[in-house]
Amino acid sequence: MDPFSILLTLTLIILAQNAVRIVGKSQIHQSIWNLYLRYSNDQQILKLRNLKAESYDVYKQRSNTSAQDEYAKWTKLNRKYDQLQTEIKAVSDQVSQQQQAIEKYLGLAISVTTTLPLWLFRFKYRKQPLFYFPKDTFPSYLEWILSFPSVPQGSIGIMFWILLLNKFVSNLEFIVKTFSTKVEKPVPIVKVEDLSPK
Amino acid sequence: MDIEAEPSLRSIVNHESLKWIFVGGKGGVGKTTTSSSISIQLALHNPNKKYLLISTDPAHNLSDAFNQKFGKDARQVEGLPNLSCMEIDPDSTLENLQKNNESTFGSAGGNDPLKSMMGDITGSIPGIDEAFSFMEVLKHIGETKENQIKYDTVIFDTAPTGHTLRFLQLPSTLEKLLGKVNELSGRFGPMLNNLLGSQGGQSIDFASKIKEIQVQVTEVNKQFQDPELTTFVCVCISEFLSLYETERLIQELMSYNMDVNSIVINQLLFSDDSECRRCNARWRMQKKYLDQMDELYEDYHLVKMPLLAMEVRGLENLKKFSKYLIEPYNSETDGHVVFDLEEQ
Repeated sequence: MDPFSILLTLTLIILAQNAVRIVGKSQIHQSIWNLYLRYSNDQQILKLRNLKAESYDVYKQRSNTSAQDEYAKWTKLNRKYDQLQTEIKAVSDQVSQQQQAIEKYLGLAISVTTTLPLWLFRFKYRKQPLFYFPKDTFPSYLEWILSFPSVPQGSIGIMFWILLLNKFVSNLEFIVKTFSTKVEKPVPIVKVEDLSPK
Repeated sequence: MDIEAEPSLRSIVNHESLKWIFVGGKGGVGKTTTSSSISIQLALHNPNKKYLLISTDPAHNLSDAFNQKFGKDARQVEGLPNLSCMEIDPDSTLENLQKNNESTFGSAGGNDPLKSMMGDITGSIPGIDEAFSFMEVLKHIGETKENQIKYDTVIFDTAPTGHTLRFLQLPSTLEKLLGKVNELSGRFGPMLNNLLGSQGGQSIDFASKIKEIQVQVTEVNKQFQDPELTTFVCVCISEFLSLYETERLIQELMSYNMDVNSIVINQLLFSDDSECRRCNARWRMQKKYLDQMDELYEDYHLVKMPLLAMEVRGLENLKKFSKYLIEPYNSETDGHVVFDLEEQ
């Protein structure tokens, strides 16, 4: 791989990793799970969807029935509602097992796609300089630090590039967060005497 | 069941194997009157069997219902030798239980922290008081001393709904809990025993004590879920809230696998053509709910009992009243009973 492709790939991976960190793993899991719930053809999920729809239907019917004037009808609806609720609970317990399995694989997939390549790159191209500074940009001890541990002096290696990018993203995040959070204005203190009627 | 259930408690009275009969419902619907009536009918119909009526309601009224003083020991009803009554004071049983606990988990040696911990653990299990007082009752009945009578059937007059449910829930909750405790004591038992043993001077086999209790509880549980041995009679009045509570009670009982197939509907006016406008209006309301109940509980024994002019108290009055648990009340031919009661 030529240095530029390595640079670009690394940058993309690190950006993706940071994006996952900022959005939050659980958030990603949840939204993917929601998509799955909506579009899956799994028997259990279809059943759960039907049960929920039915229970909502029964609930509406029950609310529209006067318990005192049509006691028998109301109670039958109530029984049905209770029964549906227990069924829903049983099915959703099973479905949540599915959810756990899916989340497990999803978590694995996310870490494999973001963490593993980074380590591979680090190992494989550890001696590959990504780019050189123009001669005499920095004093030589600084250049030595920047090229640590195993790229030729005067260049930037993978280690340092990853460090810089991570620092850059987290600083950017900090700046954006700082300027996007609203700060409550302080409320002037009101003395008790001012409130009492005169 | 193809045939519609008949509107009487004849099936209970003629039942051969029933051992426990619970009578429950909301407060003020006539549970005590109903349980007394059921007991009287059982005793009258099966003169060679022995019956015991127990009130577990903290507000005892068996004494008032029979006009005879009962206590915590079974006492025969005057004029009906095969029926006895007893009133259990839950609080005093609790005190007994605590003493009992002390002997179960080692005598309370003053400030022994381990033993008081045991007491705390056992005391903090929800509903444990009821469980123990209930087992105490069963033990009391079960003991066959030479001069003590063996009862064929025990009728429980239970406290209003919430209390009843908690009481009945116990065997299953306790069973689960004891399973957990057993698991724990399997791991820590030896250590506990060591500690207790070194302090109390005698080794107390904690785990086996708990297992013993579990066996008892499981046995009770099994009996209560067997429809041949146990049944529950719900008492209600023909009003919305009472019916609602009854429905909840029935659902709850069914979730404990208890057998419920009789509902006594009390305090009906049966005033079809009376002069009293209020009575007529009220009877119309009662009829509305009665119709709903007929529809809702078609395979239950729905027993309809009249509202009498006075409180039903005393054995003779109870006998007159309880007749209609077996033979359905007919307002045209039986109307006289309303004013027939003897003044007490």
